Amino acid sequence: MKHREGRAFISTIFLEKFWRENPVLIKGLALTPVIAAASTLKAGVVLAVVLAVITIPTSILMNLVGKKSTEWLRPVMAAVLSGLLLIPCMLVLKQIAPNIILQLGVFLPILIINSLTVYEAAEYAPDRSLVQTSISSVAGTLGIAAVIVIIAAAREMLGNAEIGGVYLPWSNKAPILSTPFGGLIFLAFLSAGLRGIFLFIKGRKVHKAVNSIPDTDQKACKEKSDQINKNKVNMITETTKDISGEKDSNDTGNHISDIEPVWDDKNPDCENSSHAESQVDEEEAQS
Amino acid sequence: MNFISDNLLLALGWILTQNIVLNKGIGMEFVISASRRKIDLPLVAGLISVLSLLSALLCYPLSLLLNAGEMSIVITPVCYIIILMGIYTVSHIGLSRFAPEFREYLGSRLPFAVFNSVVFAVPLMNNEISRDLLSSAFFAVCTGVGFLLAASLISLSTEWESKADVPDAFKGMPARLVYIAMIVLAFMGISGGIT
Repeated sequence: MKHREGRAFISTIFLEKFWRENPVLIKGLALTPVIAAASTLKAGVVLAVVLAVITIPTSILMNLVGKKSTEWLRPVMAAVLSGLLLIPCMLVLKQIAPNIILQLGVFLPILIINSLTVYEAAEYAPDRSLVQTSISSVAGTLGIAAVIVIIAAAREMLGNAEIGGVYLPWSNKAPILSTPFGGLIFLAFLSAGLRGIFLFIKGRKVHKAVNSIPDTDQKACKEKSDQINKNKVNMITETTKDISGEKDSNDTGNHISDIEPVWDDKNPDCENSSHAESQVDEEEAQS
Repeated sequence: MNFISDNLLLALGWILTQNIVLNKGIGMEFVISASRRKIDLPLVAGLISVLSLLSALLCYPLSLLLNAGEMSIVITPVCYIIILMGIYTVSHIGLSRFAPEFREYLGSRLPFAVFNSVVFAVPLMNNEISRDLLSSAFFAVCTGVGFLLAASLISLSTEWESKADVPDAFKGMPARLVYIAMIVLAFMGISGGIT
């Protein structure tokens, strides 16, 4: 039983950090490497690996050491730790792919103080358990790495008509996609796509929950809401006439479309529908 | 006269055509985060200018020493981080002792202003192009002004977002990113980046 609970706990944190609260697509952290540096697949893979090597150990070390330090010292410790971890990365890269160091320029050292590392290591890690910190940093880094690699590959394919040095069958190139403009546009659409999926899933759940309410209750609730809407319109029309002193004028400037719909959770008469939505939210939170 | 006009043109170039945020994409997350609180923008931009200037001045002698060695590319970033660490520690202790109210007011803005890609990128970029001390300092100040310009332009997106008919999936960050992309495109147009 305990084993199952532990697995559920781990998968919850992992999914939360990787998917529902993706550091780049939802939280907007570590945008610099994604929009500015990840313009080719090779660069994207190198950035993702270096980010993982820097962020995961820094978070774990900060979890162990950060608890004992004062709050103002934590960012300093995180930055120095990640700086020291960059040294072996640079040494290995210097041996394996010296060109990539030149290609990335200042963007490789900048990874030391990227907002994910600083946030994870200085703010999140010291206040959590070691397991929680480890899973969170691994999931967060994987979340960023996936985005970096996807965007880098897409930019290289469309911007340079090649992928990993292999030329693609089309000759149309859009070099502008290799600039920060392209990175921002790709990121915006990827982020909107993820949010769209969340909205679709939530919408389906709400639809299912509302459909599970008996028809008679739904009808009664709809009638009540229509009545309230009608009263609201009349009240606003009267008030406007009183204020403007144009009681005889037909157009008051107020239209039904200007008024908020009553079929929402603020209306106490529609307890069933609001209850269904809140139930879905609770279920989502639990899952 | 030539000296003034040359430097003025150089400053305009660094602010408009080589803006560290909008043309190079460095520190985008910090600009977005800073632009959410319009009232703090001058303070954050001022802090970034001062800290960039300090880091540029302090890193310059170190870069002269390190550039000679083969391992400079590996060691330089760590040395710069240690300098930033020193700047942060001294400013925290100094402000806590001599202006505790101001330090309290700054709160998390101080570590936010020191440990960000913009302040860290200034000495790295100076080192990359081997600028002299005066140019390094001038570039640092222009970076702060460029940061203020970028953040001010991005902060206008909240007004645009409230007026525009944005699809649900694009509401929030995606819409803001598209807005910033348009500003970046405009800046690329100014710099001649689009042909």
